[in-house]
Amino acid sequence: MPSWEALVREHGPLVLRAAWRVLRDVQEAEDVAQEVLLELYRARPEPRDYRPGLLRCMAVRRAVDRLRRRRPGVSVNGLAVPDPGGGPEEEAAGRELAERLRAGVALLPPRQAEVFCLRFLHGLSYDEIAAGLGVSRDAVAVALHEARARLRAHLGAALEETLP
Amino acid sequence: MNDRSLDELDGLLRQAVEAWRAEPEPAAALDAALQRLRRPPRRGPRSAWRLAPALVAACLAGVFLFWVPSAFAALAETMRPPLAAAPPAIDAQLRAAWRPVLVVHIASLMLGYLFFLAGWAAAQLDVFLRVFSLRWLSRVGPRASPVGAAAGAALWLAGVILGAWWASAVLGRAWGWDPREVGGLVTVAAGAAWWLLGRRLRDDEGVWPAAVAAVGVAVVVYSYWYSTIGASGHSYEFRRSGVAIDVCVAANLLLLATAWLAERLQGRPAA
Repeated sequence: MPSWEALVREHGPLVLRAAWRVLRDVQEAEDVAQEVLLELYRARPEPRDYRPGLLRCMAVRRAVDRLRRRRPGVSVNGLAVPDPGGGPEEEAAGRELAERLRAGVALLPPRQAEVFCLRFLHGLSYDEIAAGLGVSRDAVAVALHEARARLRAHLGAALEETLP
Repeated sequence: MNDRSLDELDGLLRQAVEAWRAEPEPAAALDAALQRLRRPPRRGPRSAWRLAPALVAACLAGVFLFWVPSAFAALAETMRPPLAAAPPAIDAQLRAAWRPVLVVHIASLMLGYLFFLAGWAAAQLDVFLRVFSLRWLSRVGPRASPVGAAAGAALWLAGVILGAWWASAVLGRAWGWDPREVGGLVTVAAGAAWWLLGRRLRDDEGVWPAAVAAVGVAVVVYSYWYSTIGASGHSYEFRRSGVAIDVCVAANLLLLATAWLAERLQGRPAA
């Protein structure tokens, strides 16, 4: 009988943290991790040597799906640019900025959101992303370029709403 | 936003990414989640016998779907006014003159069927692949289905209007509530409902987009069966065609029920 526990022991931490890094919600990350691990379990009952990049891609794909399904929250605070090395106010501003970016990523087309998260949150190379998502390196570069342009516009618009 | 430079916005984006990455990791909560994940799923992912309720439900649905349209057609037959001894003669010259409209009308309806079937097939293929854990099409089907429905409904609406135009010229009345005309209206309504519901569900990851497509196409096919075979005098094809459609609809329902149940069974293990 294949060992579910061995699969979770071997790959669980990486998958769970990869999902959490996108979602910032333990419960949702746990759901994503379970979906990914079940997919691995069904595909190959015996634990194999999965590449970390591939596992991250699987987790991020599902995490992005969940991120996109979230209802966009309405922020009561305006968007402020935090000063580096600041105190609690800057921390709060940083959280707000990160929340705005998450909302922006949730509005991106799925492929762009996945590529953006894999590149900037997980630090994967273009080649690793291309291999994990099954697309060409050029497609990764184009998706990343478009994602950055959209997110710049999203954050710029948020800043405009805040500043007089 | 226009007066902000690209560098400034790029810097803002970098800061936002840093802020996102810098959020502290709740190590204890993640460890607890990992402990919960270690418990094996209470229900095995590949226990085929657990799909038995879905099989039974699908068979019952198939039987139900066989009897409802059969009863509907039988009732329609009893309510149908007796046929005139001879159908009213249509002026051959008039009919020939209006033949182009009839040809476009039929072409529009046939093309509409093609779009309906393409949207339906995309959604069902998606579910089929999902059942076997091949997720590469999983974002195509739910999006293709309402497009097919919209194109099919639009073509059918055009076809119904063209048919009414032809009938007003050749038969002397645009609308007579005969089975084909009612069938056309039902098809347009089904396509429109499928389109509207499908659009709302286009981002849904479950089986519901495919279920909407399945119901939509079932109504379209039953409408065809009723209006051209069940109630139009071609009684020699009545039973066989009805059963064939029922079998297809039942198989479709079986696929959806299996996928739905598989998703439920492979969901979160009980804590």
